[in-house]
Amino acid sequence: MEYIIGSLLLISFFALVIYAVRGGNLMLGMFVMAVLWTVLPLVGNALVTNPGFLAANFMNGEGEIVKPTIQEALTKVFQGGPEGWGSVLVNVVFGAWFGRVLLQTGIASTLIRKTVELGGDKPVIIAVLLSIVTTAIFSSMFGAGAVVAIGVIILPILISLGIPKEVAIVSFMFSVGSGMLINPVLTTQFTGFFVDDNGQKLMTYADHVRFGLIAMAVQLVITIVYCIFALRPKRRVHAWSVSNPNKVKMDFVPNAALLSPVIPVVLLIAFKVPIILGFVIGSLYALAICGKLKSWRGAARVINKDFFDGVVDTAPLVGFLLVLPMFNKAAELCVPYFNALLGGVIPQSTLVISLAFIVLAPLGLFRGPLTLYGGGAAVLGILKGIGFYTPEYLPWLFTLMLIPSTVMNVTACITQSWVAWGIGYTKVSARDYLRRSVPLGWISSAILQAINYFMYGIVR
Amino acid sequence: MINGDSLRKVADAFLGKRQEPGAESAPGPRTPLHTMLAGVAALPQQAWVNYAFEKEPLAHRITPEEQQQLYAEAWRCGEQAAEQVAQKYGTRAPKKLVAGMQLKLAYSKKEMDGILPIFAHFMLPRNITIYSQYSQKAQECYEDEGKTCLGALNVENVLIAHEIFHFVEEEQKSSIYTQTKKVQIWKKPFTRFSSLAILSEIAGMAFAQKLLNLPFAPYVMDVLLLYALNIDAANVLYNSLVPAQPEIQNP
Repeated sequence: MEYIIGSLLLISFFALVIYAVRGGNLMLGMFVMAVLWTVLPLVGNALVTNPGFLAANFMNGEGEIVKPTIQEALTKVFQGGPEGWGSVLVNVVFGAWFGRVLLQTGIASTLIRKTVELGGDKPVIIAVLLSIVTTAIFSSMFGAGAVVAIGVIILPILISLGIPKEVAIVSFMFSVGSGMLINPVLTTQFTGFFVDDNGQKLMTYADHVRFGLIAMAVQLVITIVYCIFALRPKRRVHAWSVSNPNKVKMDFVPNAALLSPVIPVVLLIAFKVPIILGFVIGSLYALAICGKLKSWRGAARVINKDFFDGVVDTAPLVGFLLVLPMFNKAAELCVPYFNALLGGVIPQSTLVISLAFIVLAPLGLFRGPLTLYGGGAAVLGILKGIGFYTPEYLPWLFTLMLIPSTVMNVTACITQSWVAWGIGYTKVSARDYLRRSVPLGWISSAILQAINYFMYGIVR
Repeated sequence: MINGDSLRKVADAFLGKRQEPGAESAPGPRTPLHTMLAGVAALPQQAWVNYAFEKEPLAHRITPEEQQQLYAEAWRCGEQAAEQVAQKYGTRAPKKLVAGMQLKLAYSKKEMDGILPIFAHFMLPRNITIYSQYSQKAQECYEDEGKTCLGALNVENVLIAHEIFHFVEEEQKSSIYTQTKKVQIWKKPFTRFSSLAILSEIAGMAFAQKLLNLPFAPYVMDVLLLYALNIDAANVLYNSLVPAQPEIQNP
């Protein structure tokens, strides 16, 4: 019976992948999967009779077989799941507020303008410098609204300098992705997958910082090398183009305000200041330097508006973020059945699994089985179930899943909301984007997985 | 194999349907093409100075007076280059010049609309690409709706002529004004000089106008080309270029 249930779970998993690739609404897809992956293991639990299977998965400390009741399973999936994600959402909201402050004060656009001036008449240098600045901005800022707001400034500049739009969009999205590798809001979302039975996080942002900084540097270097290669002199372009009549207004702010984008992350890394406080300090610093806190009434109005706009920015993500944990929790109910079906097939070696993740990195695309924003929750469940959910393996397992989720999904995949926006905005075809993003993402994933193995995967 | 439509569907599923370019702008009532072309053709040079420098990322580092002077010098450079080329090759026909200069002229049907619609480009060392679906559509629009105001016009020739200039300036890059002119963008102690990409484009427009003896600045073509792509976007551009006329009150 356990093999039948395991097979049905696997079939439903591939059905989800196909559904995602065909453009189905992922929030509803995840909800249906959460229901299926709750019902199937409950049916299995009721019918399975194999004593070995029962002993391996449901035996408590006193030698009794204790299966989860229907009530417990439903509560765990549909109540505990979304509730457990509350801390993630709070971080997302504060991050979005901080992003809005940087945009509304004009700090982001001033930073970009000064970067362009630094590059002068050299498109390659401008592209490289903008990649660095974009990475710095998105080391703290998060959300589709923030990416769109920065993109509408940067992308027209890059294209107007004669940089092919395919190169412009890929370099921009990979720079955003580089910042995301150290972004506290994104990282907190991943830590939500690594909790103990009491809901306590087993991995924190601090545990990720060392690898995050290395990963950010690696992906940024890959992006810069791509810019230099794609914009080598013989490929320079002069284009007859028509600029958008609704130009984005360029702002002017004091130089001291330009430090604001990195304040939360620097405070967090250097002084262990909690990230929400970091967002508050960064926002207040930015508002004060830009003269937006001169009166109590004015400050209240600005802060209120930025917070409102920030929450609106996160709105499209909230539904998905609240359904996703239902699926994650349901995946935990399925672990015994995946284990029964795949436990003997999946190798127990961190080296072999790391190599598999390198070779199969593109499965992180299209919400596939290697991204935690898709079917990866199930793969994580399997890896947890076969013995990697122990303290010595946790950093490796966490990073193993974070890499394809951030590089292949958040950066390289057209199903990421801001990538979908970007290719629509620049009118680069999905195929042209993927033709460049997939090889770059694959290279980045391979290097990062190798680093992960050597940093955390060699457990003695 | 996943085709382009499937990929687009996937992207749409995660973002919702995309807007067409220019659709975000509420343009108000539409102006007929011939009215728009006549309106922009009559604009003074200062309007084109402002329009051209809007595309220059370093523009705010240059005073309006300097912009005017740079525009005039770049324009003169383009006109001189056109005369030199016409004399050297004994023709003013863009396609004959393309052949004489051994340039490669290609036509592409690739979609180049979006935030910064592109209608033609020159890529080193000697490749000119015309995005023919837009040039053909613009030609048809002009024949059908706009012909009366500007006389005979061959859209493709104007685009080719402009791109030829970029080849000419690459040939003469050590001496031509558009490549050698530098402006100071940073003051002491971090003094920095830079050339301005927009000067090449201004000179390219002047080159096309002089070569083809056009009775209007080729910037007018922007409205026509945009009209072929998106009527509403062309209206937005027109309204941004031509100040609204005060309504005539009935006595």
